Amino acid sequence: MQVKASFKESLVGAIPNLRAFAVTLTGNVDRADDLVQETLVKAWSKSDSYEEGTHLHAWLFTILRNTFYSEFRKRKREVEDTDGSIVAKLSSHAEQTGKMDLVDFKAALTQLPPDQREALILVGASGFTCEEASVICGCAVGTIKSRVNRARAKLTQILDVESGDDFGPDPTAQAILSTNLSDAKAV
Amino acid sequence: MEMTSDEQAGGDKGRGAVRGKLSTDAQDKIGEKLRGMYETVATEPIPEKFLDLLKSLEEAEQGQKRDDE
Repeated sequence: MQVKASFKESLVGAIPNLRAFAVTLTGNVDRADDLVQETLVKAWSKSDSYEEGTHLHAWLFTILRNTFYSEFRKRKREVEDTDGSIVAKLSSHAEQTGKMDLVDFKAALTQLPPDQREALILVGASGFTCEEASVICGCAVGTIKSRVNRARAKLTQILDVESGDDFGPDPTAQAILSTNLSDAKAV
Repeated sequence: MEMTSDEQAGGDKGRGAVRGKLSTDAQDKIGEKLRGMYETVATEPIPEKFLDLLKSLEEAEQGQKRDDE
């Protein structure tokens, strides 16, 4: 029981990071909290499979992202967003102000394919190394690096954070935006 | 940060940002925004519902054990 009590304390300690990961991943606080809740329940029931002394956060992040993906696949079947209003709003706003604010950033983040978004968050905000992120995502280190690069490049395009003088509305960005609407409801 | 061959093969043929290396400035801005968003959530107090959830999981398990004995 002592062991389980300390496991519980560790779970509590991990909640802030799990929430931050879930919110940035889904772009939606309610959905994020549902994910965290499911993660905690699963972690509790699978506590026997957690090896003491190994990276608890990485283990929990793995559970959370696997839960996210199984829901994402479900949602994808249910919700086909063909509206595009979020994207339209986003690009007109960026055009008007010519700079990126947090609202733009959140919206742009949800436009990334989830695997790229996830890699960028794990490496760029959660503080995992590319090696750790590759374990969490179950892929090669090179794949993580490539996803992070692509995520940065796409965000830069969407948000136009380069000077913006050389290129106006970008056909590639448009194409990217129009092919990644399935998750846009999360905004 | 260099583009990988995987990336070049990935079909990102966009102009501007995707061509060659991203400017350090753009990367910094993106990193800053992302960390800001992340930290905002990470520093919020833990919602009570999660503490209640763990407590009830623990109690349920203890109850289970007592029943088994």
